[in-house]
Amino acid sequence: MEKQRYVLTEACELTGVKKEFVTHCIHARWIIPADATEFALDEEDLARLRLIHELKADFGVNDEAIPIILGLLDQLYALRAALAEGADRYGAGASVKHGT
Amino acid sequence: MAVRDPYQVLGVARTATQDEIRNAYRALAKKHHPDLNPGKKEAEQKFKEVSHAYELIGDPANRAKFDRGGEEGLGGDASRRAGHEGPFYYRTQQGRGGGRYSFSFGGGGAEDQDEFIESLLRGFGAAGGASGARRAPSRGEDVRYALEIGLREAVQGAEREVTFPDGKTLRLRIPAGVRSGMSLRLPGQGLSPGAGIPPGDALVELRVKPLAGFREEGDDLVTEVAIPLAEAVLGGEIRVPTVDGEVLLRVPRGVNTGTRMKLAGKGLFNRQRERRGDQIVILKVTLPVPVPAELEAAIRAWAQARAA
Repeated sequence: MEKQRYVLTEACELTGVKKEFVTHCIHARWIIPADATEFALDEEDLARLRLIHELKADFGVNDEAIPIILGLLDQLYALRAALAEGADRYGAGASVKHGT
Repeated sequence: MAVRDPYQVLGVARTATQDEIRNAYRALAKKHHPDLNPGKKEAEQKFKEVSHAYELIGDPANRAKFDRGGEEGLGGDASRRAGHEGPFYYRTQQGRGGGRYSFSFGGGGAEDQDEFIESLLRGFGAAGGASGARRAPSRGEDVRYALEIGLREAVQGAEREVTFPDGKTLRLRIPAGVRSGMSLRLPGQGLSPGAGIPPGDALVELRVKPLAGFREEGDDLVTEVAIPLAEAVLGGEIRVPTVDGEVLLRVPRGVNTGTRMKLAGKGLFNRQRERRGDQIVILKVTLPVPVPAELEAAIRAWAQARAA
């Protein structure tokens, strides 16, 4: 099934952030648009965008710390996914899973 | 989204300053943000509640409206961010591997990733679980042994009968080209934790005993070989011991003690380069003892000729 894509104006409307903020995130490579040729974002991009906005606007995180936090979160999620997959494969039970 | 009194949710007095409200919100949001608490349903609920409360009173204009007429007084102004429409980031990352934002462990291909997962799970005794609850192991533990083998066995390969501490004996095939520190894995020869649970593996670490007369220099083996004076002066063939057996080495005229010669491919196996090193032969010229009268006469004549 084709994933839903959102152009810049739609992305701004859905997340409540300004266009400049979205383009800043893309230029900083914090967001890699699902469709780079048309700057179109998918749900994953929007969720990441919301997270970056919350980190900056609500938590006072500066630009230098954003890639560090995103990198650590991405490692954490990849580790959880790898563990869940490995637990299934090696018969350790499927208890290492994301919450529902 | 109807909420409890936002002042109560944020834990501030109705007379709190905007700074106090912002600080209270930031502290609660940091504590409950779902991306910092992935998998905790109550954290997500709490974050949404805190976030919505801040929408109502975090902005002075909205706060004034709220204070006058409650949530309805805002007329939907704070509705946009309040519900946090759309999933939190961690939800979009569930069960993913290799996405745009995915991180690769192990630094290599799928095989490295598998090894990483396997080693991690083994480290947990295959008893992983976010809750920390112990689970029955899926297989027994690996057991490590050490085995000393000769240099020739290491180079050529061998079969050895080994006896394990529990009295079990096993015929072990040592492949050609092993080095000290390498381990052989014997599947299913480790500990068995109980009925119905497969045993772990036995890991046999090899230690190669040095062979008298052979010295290791990286992948090369170095030997010192005596060469009679006649062959050293005139050239000829000498017998040289190697780990593969004795070979004949052709020596040119006029070699001396310390001359180094190479026997290609007679050294130790290098698995990265997939080839064997060389044997370096250091010659040591030897005089026949006692010195034969003819040799002594010939040398005397040569010495006199030099002095003249």
